[in-house]
Amino acid sequence: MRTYITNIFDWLDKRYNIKVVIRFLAEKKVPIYKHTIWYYMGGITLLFFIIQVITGILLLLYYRPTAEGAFESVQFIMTQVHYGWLIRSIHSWSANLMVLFVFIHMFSVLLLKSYRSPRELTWVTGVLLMYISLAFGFTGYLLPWNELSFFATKVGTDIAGVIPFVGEFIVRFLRGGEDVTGATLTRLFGFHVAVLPGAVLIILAIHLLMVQRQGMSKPVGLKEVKREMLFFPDFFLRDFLGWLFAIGILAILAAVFPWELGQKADPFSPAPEGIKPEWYFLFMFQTLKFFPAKILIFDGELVATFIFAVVGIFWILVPFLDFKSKKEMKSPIFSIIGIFAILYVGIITLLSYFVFK
Amino acid sequence: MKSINRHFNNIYIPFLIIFLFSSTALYSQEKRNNCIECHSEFEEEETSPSIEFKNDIHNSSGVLCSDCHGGDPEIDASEDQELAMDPKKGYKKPPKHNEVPEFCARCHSDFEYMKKFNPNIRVDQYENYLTSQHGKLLATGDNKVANCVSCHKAHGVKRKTDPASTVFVAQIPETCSICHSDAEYMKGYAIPTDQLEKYKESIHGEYLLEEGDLSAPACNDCHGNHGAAPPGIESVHNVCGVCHPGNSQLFLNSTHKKYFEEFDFPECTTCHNNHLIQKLTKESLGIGEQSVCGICHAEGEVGSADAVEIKNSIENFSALRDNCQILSEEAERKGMHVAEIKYQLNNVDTELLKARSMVHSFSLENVKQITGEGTKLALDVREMANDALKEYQIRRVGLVISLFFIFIAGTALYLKIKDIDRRRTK
Repeated sequence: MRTYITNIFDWLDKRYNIKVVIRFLAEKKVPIYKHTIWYYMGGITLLFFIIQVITGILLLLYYRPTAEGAFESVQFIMTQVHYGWLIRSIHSWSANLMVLFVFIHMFSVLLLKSYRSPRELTWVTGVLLMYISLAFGFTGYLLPWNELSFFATKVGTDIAGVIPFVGEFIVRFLRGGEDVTGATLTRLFGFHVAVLPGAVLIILAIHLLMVQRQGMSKPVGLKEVKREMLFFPDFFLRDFLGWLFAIGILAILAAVFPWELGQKADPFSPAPEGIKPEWYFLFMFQTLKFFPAKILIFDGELVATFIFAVVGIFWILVPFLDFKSKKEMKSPIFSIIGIFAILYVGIITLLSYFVFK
Repeated sequence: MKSINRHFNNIYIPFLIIFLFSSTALYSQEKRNNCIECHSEFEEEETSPSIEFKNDIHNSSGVLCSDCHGGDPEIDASEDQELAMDPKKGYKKPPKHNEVPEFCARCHSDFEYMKKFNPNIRVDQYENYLTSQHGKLLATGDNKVANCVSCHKAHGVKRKTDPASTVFVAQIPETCSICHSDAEYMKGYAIPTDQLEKYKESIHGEYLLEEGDLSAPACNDCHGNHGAAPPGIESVHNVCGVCHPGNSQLFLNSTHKKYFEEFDFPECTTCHNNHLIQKLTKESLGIGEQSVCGICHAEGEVGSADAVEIKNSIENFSALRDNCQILSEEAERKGMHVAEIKYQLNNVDTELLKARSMVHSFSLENVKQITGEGTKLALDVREMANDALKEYQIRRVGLVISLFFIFIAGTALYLKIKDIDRRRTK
């Protein structure tokens, strides 16, 4: 048996020189210090992404992306398909946990300034992955075709309409027509299961390759690390332990709080009260509400959308704008920006749930 | 630019000319109504004719004061009042109480005239009125009974579909009660005056007046409106059967019909009352104190055993149905998907409704047949709900087992990591 494996390995090595890769990984080390814990966040995000892919494929076996069949097919999955309820519940919970860990991972990288040279592109790909995760959330939310998701999608796509010149086109493009209909469902389904996964696979592969190639970043000012551990197996096993813990939490959430289906969407019924997007869009939704209808001669929503776009672009460019950390100097401005962003997103999200109902 | 100008000249200018001419023509056709103008000067109360008439259906349909009262509204009465209200110009004094029905019927019984307002309008009101209790008494010279304006008002007449109308369905009980609840006014007619009070407490009153269900019956739905009269004993089932045809038919074919006729019992109202129709409870069946069967069937008498059996059969079925609902709600609370259970529970509810309706056949066999079918359906629903609850337990056990394995794997992994660490420090 051992000789067979060795033979296969040698056969591959002759062609692809994989010993170099193995040697590289075997020698790779991870620094141990008080912030090592944050290195595991990306791994947990990756776990949830893998769970999404697997459960997503399983849901695809029964899901029908039409206005007439979507709700019924999800209902069928939840009541008739063996463990269908569990798969759907895991998919929904894991989606939310993935977005949560994307945020945790992103903010930890931001505050540790791990984006600084030479890891600028790792940050850029990471931010792009975050935007794609949000797009996954937005497109997936409508797929069960229930009342809440229908109206939330209506409100969500409406926001794009305020963008000058192209807004109307974007709304029509997202909806596949004037209104949210079966065409929107089919379209968002296409994005959710084909376009976005394709984009994620490419960007995620680049992101992971960069992380592996460049190794873990150490915070500014931490010149020497007294302790280190090998990536294989020390860090890898610890990462795996984290995965087991995350799987346990996910199992409890999915089984004890199965994701609800709600009422089937009825486009002719009036919007129910308290329509809200998913929690990770709440801070933007609430911010839009804070803006007055008019700011000077501009539409309030337009100004807010413009600010979101500027912040979105700024976020991608952070490594190129933070000149101080580039020179291995402390850059408190970006720490303040990071903390402010965490507080803003956190507080507004909580307020949306408990105060601005 | 030239072509635009040409279009303007060719199309718009002729249109403009036609519009100007037609509006002038319309204006000139509008009659002057000096009656209102003059009467407004001395009539100040909200209920005075000139003020009420402004919101009257006749006014908005283009019917003038003079169309009913005669006279010449073109003449400015401030200059010559006598001439405006000259009998030679057709002016008539307001009709007396007993003249009102005929007065209104001049138009309202003339289909040729009325159809221009509504091609489907009814013109039999006067004819109906003559057959009503009101009409008959009026003919005997009783001027206290209601005529058209008693219910519709004289100058503030509104469509019956207008919620502000005195004959809007939800207003009818109050309108009738103006006379019928006035004990002093009704003295001498030998009929009770507590109908409104009872109606308000009835299930019909609750739906119409409290829940705003406009399909619930008001006084006129049972008594008729223009032909208002108390339904005769033998026609009660027809009156109730307008809305409850199934129950009415079951009653007609039942043995009770014959006996009720024999004893002069007023059909449906014998058990259900007339103005005070109550929502029935489970105590209404059987032969208990509150039962309606017990009014005639004392314990041990003919029919009492069947009455008790019918009650038990429905009660057992109803209890099973309630049990299904409790289980379904419990499963839902526990996060199980119960849409199918709820759907099937609706079918059980329909069977329960059918069983309750079948009581009107007064046949134990018929009732048992329905409750039997319903019970089968309810047992299926109960099984589905129990399955959902069992599934919930299985999920819990499955979760615990999964967590146990995850814990074992985690512990093993942790020990392995510690082992590696220990070996490294050596």
